[in-house]
Amino acid sequence: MRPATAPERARLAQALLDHFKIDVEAWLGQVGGTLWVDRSGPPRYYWVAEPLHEQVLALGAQKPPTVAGLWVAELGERDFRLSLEGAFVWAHLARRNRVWLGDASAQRFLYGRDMREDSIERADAAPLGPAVIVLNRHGHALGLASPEPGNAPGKGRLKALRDRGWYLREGG
Amino acid sequence: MLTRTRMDVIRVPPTPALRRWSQQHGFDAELVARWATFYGDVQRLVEAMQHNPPTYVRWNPLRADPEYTRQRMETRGFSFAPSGVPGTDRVIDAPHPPGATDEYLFGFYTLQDASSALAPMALEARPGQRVLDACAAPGGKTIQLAQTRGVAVHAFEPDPARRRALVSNIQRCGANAVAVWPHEAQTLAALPWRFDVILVDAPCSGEGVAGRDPSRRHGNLQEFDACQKAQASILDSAWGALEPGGVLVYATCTLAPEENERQLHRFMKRHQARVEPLPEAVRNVRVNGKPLLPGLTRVGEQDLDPGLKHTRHTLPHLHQTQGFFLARVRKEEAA
Repeated sequence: MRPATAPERARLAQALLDHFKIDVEAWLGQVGGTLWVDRSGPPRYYWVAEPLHEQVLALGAQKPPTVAGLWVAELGERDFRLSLEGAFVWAHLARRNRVWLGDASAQRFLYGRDMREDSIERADAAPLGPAVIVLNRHGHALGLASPEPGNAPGKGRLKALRDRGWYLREGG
Repeated sequence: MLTRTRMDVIRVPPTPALRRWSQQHGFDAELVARWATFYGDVQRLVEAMQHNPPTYVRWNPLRADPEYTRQRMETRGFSFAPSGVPGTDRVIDAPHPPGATDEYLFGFYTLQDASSALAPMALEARPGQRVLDACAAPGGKTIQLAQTRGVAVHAFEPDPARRRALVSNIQRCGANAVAVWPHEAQTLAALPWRFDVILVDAPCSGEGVAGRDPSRRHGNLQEFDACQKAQASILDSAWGALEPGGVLVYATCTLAPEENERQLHRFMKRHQARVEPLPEAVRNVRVNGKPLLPGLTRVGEQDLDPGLKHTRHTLPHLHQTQGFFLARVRKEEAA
């Protein structure tokens, strides 16, 4: 785990822009902090508060921390995905690929259930991409889902990819 | 009559009447006899520990304005009362478990006993300081420390399963100023790192949580012995990693003086350390209306360092919390 290089940071910024129209550099300019990357597996990006960034570097540890900051996204050679926390902190910045659920549907989604298309209360302009941020009525991100078309209009579904109920089911 | 066993644990033989009474209430008589000697009013203490203590929520301003969260929950039937500890409220009505709400999943609050919230407060971590939570899982206190703007926290947890839970809680609560390290607190002194403030919320025999965990009602004295040895090792190691002038806060959730006052008495002798008064904000707190209890300065036949009067306890029957112990130790500049 280490600070992201300029090319790594640029790749993530481009992916966020392409998928969700999120301008991550402008956002970082407002809220502060920086991006770190963990390449021990598929490259994971973390949003690290500035004081922590400075301190971890100053410690000069032989081995990096297990985790520093918030895991926000994963970006490999071909795959890009937001994490639960990436969806949560960036949902209000996104301008595409978001869907909103009503209260009852939101509860079911938090149990990891797929959603029928007609349970979507509203959505960003079509077409939706392969992964969408799922929000409740209050605009809080519940997780991520993949829209799958149905064999008739209105018969599609949202396949749950990850949901915040995970924290109860498996998070410990 | 008090005796000290080969295990270096204080033994208080229960009277036959106390033995019968303890058994009727589902508690080990030897534990109850010790509590009667150290804290008095054992009847109310045991009665309080036969039930779960109240549930407390610690609002998380990293994620949402506490007033917003409270109002959202109140519209769904929850109600809260001030605990007396800033940022922590007592749950009065809960239509469903507070650990299974949307707001909990969003990290808008953590579930943390009101007494536990006193330990990070006692540390008074400031921006720019190197802050260590030496025994961090499951992370309630780590997250609380990270709620102070500009404070970065280093959290140690060697056990993989506990570390997973720690990371999960930190992520859920949006604390981006925390680094989790897989180190053991006992190895601290061997690391080339130094910290300005260190929280040692030590593994302990957990007598203070007997209300929530019935297995603690039948503690065995060997456990006190094992715990005090592990705690001494952690304290010594943490002391070595503390900057001169730095502050170490020591906390446990046990009532056993071997792990609390007597532990610190010996620590102070080994390191010429001094326990200092807790910050005013902690000292003056009234948990559910009751002031904190000063620590013991005499245990059995032994007089302890008089500075231990600056330590504080909460007790289940007085404060409606778990049993908790808290001390703040300063390392001299020239040490």
